[in-house]
Amino acid sequence: METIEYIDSYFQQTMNEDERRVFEKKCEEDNAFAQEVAIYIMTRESLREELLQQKQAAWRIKNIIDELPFIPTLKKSLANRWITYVAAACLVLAASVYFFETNPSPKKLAENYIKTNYSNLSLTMDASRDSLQLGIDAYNNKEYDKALRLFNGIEKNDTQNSDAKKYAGITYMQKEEYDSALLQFDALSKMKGLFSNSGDFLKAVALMGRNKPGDRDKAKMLLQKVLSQKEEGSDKAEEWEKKL
Amino acid sequence: MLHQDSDILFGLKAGYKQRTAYEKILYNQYAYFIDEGCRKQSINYDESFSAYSDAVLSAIHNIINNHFDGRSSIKTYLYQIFSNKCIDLVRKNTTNKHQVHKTMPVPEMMNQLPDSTRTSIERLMHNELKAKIRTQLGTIGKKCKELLLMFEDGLTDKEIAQELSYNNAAVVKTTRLRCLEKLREKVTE
Repeated sequence: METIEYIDSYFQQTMNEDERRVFEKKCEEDNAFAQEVAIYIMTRESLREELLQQKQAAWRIKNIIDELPFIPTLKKSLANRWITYVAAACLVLAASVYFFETNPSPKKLAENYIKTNYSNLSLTMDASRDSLQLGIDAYNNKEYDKALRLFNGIEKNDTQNSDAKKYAGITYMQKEEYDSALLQFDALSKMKGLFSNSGDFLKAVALMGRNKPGDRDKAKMLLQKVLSQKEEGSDKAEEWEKKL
Repeated sequence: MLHQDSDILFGLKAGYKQRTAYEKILYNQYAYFIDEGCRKQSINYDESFSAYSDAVLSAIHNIINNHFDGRSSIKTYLYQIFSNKCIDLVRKNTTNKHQVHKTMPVPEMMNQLPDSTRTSIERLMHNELKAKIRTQLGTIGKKCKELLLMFEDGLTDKEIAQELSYNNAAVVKTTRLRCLEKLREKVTE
């Protein structure tokens, strides 16, 4: 087994330059050793071919289905056909009711989350009447346009104000202006050095709320990122990731 | 729906289970290359399919091993690998037609060796040996084969330990080498 380990470490690139040179010289001078190396390489190559066959089978499934010949259905009597239609409609209806009861849409999940968690924003600790505080007051009074003017104003003067970005994004979500919310959360997620950054999680919420084609997949990936990097919102991310 | 490069890269690197889904996404996204291969390289559909899936597998392994530096799009990168595989196929077909040498495709691993060493090894590689290895692969046991295939698929010993419930990466490495040894013995006996 020592020989295989030695050959394996060469191809795993764990040898230093000198060790590599010794290995290469041995291949050229020792025919029995060269034979072992040839077997190792061909074994790995055979494994790759086997792997490729497995992958081809998995990747090709869709194509096989597409290529299946079209088989026309047999003609049925009118009554039979109607019974089939009604039964199918009932099944679809029952399945839809079950699906929507047990699997709320991403949009619904996002809307419920915003409603539960962001009906009101918390006042800051010092309760001073600065622009951020005024913005929060306006938001809590449902004066969203005024709140946005204040949050955006803060951002203009202080581009590093993470709270202003976060609150502006949340306000846009309340107004269902998800594109603008995404811009805010994207900028927030890129900010470095914050004690806690909810940018990625809120971006996922905004994508779920917007619910355009592809948004669901993007939201899912962001939730997985939040989970894997234990970012703010990872509890909720774990719950939603399974539902998306 | 077209997936962005960043999504595919993230998905392929996100872990073994997630990777499988993104491999298929990548495969489907550029599967039209297969038809282009038939048209531009004058190879048949099965050959073009084989070259394309081989190229996808190589691209995936390069991406997960961080050998893809992102200087081009995935599409351009994949197309380059695919074109090279097609050219190899055309070359192989031409050589076979003329029956000059009974050649076999050179494994990618050979590129790690310098030219002089490569020559010493290449002369010992032949189709009979390969056929023997392929046959003996079915006799080393299901677990051994599964482990070796996972390693070949780019999983680290640590990842294999998690997937196949081994105690740690060191156990996987020892088991993997034992499996290779077992196969070698069967091939050479």
